[in-house]
Amino acid sequence: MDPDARGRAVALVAAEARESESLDVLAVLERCGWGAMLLPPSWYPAETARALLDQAAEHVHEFARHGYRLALIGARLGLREALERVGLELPPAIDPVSEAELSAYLTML
Amino acid sequence: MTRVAFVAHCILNQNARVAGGAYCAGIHAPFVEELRGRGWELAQMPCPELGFAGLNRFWAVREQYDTLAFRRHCRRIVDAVAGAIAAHLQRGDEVVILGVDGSPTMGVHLTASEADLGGRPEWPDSAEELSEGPGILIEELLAELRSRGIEAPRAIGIRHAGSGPVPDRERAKLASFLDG
Repeated sequence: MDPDARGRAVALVAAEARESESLDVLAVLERCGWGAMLLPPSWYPAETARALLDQAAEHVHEFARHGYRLALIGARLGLREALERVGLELPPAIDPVSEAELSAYLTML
Repeated sequence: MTRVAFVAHCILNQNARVAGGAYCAGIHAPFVEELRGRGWELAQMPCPELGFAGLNRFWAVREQYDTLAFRRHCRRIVDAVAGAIAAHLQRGDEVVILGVDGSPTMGVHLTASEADLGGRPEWPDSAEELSEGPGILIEELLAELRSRGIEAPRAIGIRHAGSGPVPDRERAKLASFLDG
């Protein structure tokens, strides 16, 4: 085992952005060495979604505090407010249409 | 029927693991491939250790985390996770929980345990690192589901550790469980 194999790069992934016919977000993240934080789907009850987004924001805060690269793939209503509650802004965001576009974006960050 | 696996955070994000505990840079592919290849959708539980003790935490055992404050922290997490599980079940989805055996918090059948571990992070030479039983968050989650009158989903813990770069034995165990 590598002494510390962590890639220091984490993508927040909106549920609705995970898969399409031309794009498998998790496969791209795996190939690029990025971790994934799956955001709650939009149909969850509001109270449950807010609690999960708040906890995701706390994780992002810890990653940001240590200088990890962060990205948002897709969009999630309520995420901006959850991040603001822990003093953060939205990370760089992309709504990719292809695996090549997403891969290039992650490599650039 | 939609099938949804609630997975331990680190299965999708090894960055959450303790320094020296990650098996790859990001997504631990073998288990994710197994689940998705069999048509399971993924939902990700928050990492109780990351949220509580941060990225530079030491390796720890269940006894170290088993404090009132950590239990409260876990109950805050599981309140949201149980709400999500309930929402899926109300939709008619099948739900399973995928933990990480050996974890002091996310183990399902095995958890890291040593009553006397503390101080400098060294294991006593003769200590058994693992004990039967769940980690603290999984224990709290099952209790929360019980309190809501929700039958506990089938649950399994995989171990990240294995012989060789791909933990074939654990992946086969997961496949058998999913077929179950």
